[in-house]
Amino acid sequence: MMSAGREVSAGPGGAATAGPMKIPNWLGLRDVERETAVTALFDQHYPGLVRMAVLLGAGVDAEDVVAEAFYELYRRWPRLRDPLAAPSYLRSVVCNLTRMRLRHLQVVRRHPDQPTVDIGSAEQEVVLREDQSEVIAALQTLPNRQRQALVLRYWLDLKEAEVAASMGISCGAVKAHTSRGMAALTRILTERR
Amino acid sequence: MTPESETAERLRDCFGAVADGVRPSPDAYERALSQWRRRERRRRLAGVLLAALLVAGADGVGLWALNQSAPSGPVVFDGPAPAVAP
Repeated sequence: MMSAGREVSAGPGGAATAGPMKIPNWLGLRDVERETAVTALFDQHYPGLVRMAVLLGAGVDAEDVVAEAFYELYRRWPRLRDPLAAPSYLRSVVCNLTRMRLRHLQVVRRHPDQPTVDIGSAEQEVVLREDQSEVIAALQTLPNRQRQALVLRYWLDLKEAEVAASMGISCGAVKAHTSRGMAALTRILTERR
Repeated sequence: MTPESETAERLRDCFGAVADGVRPSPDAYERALSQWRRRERRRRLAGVLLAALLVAGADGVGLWALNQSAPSGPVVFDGPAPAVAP
């Protein structure tokens, strides 16, 4: 154990980690190392992951979803085989948590007797052109998997194998989801013209 | 330009516009860090409590087993003591 009230400059900088932070007594040296490593990843990937969660449909819960993903990484850090795999692991957890959230909301909507929570989408808060709003509306009609595949492929520009790893499915399934999603999107957008 | 490639272009443009409008809250790191530490402390406390319960349970079972044996009888082994060479 280290001495009480230790202070370290956290992470490699950035607004998110500005200023020294106190380390509690019960944290050991390994915990401090783990915190430093996860903090560096947080600085680097948090904004991008929040944007990804919004695009995947996490809405106002996007930050909570990403924070939960970082906690999962923090908890499993000693078991992580390669620190370079951390960004891919985070993407995968964000995808799964967002899908679970959307599934939960679908179940809630099926039971109209339960009070519905205001689930305002973060996409609605962003000022978009009319054609962009059309695309977003069309995207929201797609099944979750297809939407995820399109976001990972066309926004993050990931390769099929990386998309497959993030979604926990095979490359063939990624191809199928992407092509079906694109076909459906094209059809919807053509019909609306 | 094929309809699909046009859709892909529009999709990229739209994703970019939505993503540019998303601003993570500035205190996100502080909140996340305090949450990590709180949950980690709770996890460790739960582990210590579980270990203490297991030890107490094992002690209880052992004491109960010892208490069941006859006062004059052997406590651990039933058979006669082996002969020890001088």
